[in-house]
Formats: sequence, structure tokens, C-alpha cells
Amino acid sequence: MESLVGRHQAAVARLLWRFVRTKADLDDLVQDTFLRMVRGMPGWRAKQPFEHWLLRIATNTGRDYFRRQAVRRRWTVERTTAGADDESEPEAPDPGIDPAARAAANDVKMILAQLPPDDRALLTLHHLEGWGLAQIAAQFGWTLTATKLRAWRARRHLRTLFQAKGLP
Amino acid sequence: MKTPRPDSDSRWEKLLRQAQADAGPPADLTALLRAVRQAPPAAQAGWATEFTALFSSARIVSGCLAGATACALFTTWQVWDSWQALPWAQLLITAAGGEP
Repeated sequence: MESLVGRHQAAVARLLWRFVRTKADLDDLVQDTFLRMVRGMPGWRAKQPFEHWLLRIATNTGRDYFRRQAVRRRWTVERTTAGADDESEPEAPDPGIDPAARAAANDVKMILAQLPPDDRALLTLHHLEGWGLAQIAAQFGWTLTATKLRAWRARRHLRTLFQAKGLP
Repeated sequence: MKTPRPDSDSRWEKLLRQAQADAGPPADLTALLRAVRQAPPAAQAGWATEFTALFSSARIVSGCLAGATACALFTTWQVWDSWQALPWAQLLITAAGGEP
């Protein structure tokens, strides 16, 4: 089990970083993914590659995180500033990373945070991770047509949000 | 003539390209391994779980429905063919006032 964790943790962390803005949240989601993996191990069928199965667990963990955030947001005091929608403060940039890339990623995540959770998960994977719509549909168990329609609506919503935001 | 793209689209694409280049921090492997070690072992799948998994596919449900329909059609055809030879059918015709 530990060798599986060691082999796949980097890929899982890389994917889940697209869903979060802080290292603490990243560690939580990565742990959650691997705990789900341990619990779901007897249900894994060898007909699908292990990594695909694990990444499906990771994307579902990310989507559940968005859903929890949306529920929490609904029940907390109304916030007027759009940026405060995402509860966590962005991670302070490490010296080794590209600060412009981190700033851009934080801006994109902040705008995506205003979408409904499923749309947010879809566009996070599509825009930030570069996944195709067919792959996303397969991951979430949606039909391709429904995914295309959802993506079209989400992009339209996103364009409005981006224009309203007036980012440089 | 091509419609010029809105300025916001190109700004968005530029922002996306930069965002895609962002690499996240590594996960805390020590804490992760500790959590996995402490996780309770997964329960062995019993026959009930296997049975549910076997019949959870929509393809199997539609296959069962198609089989049941084929079986019903075949039975109806057989009964229709041997209607005259069935003794209870004769009784039914008599009871209904038909020709014996």
C-alpha cells in the first residue's frame, strides 16, 4: 500500500493543486483521496488501469471539496467582495516558483470559485489541467452531450464574471 | 470577414496560459503515509457486495429485460400453436359458450 502511495502521490497532488489554493487544503485532499483509495480497494476491478481509477477518486474528491465550499458559503454571512468567496487565503509563493504563474492561477481559481461546484470542477479540469470534455464526462459519469452543454453554459457564465472582474 | 474576438477573450487565454504553468507544492508525504497506515483495513467484499456489483450495470438490467421479453414471446407463440391440443383450453371454450 505504501509503495502505491509513493508511486502515485505526485500525480494526485499535481491534479488536486488545481482545485485548491493553499498547501493545507492540498494535503487534506491528497490524504482524503488516498484514504478513499484504501477503503475502495476491494471494489477496484483490474479491467481499468489503477492510475485512472485513482485519478477518478481524486477528481471526485476535488468536486466534493467544491460542493462543501458551496454549502458553507451558502450558510455563512453574506460577503460582498467577490474575492472573499473562496475562504482560504492563497498560498504565499515559494521562492522557487514562477510568481506570475502563481498569481495568474490564483486569479483563475478565484473567478472559477464563483461558479456552481460541478461547473467549477468541469472548467478547472478543462482550462487548468487541459482535459478534453470526453475525458471529463467519463470521469464524472456524465454523457458527452450533457458535458458539452454544461461546459458551454459555464463558459458563458465565466465570460460574464471575467468581464465584470476587469482583471488586467 | 472574420469577426474580431473580444479583447476579454484574449486576456482570458493569456491568463489561462500563465495559470497552467503554475506548479503546486509537493504533498506532505510523511503525514500522508502515517494517515494511510492508520486507516482501518478495507472490509473484504462479501457475496452480497459481489452480487450487487455484478447487477449494478445498466447493460445487465436491459439484458434481463430483453431476455424476459423474448421468453414471454416464445411462450405465447408455443401456447398459440398448441391451443387446440390443450385440454384446459377446450374447457375454457366450453365454459365461455363456444363450440365444444
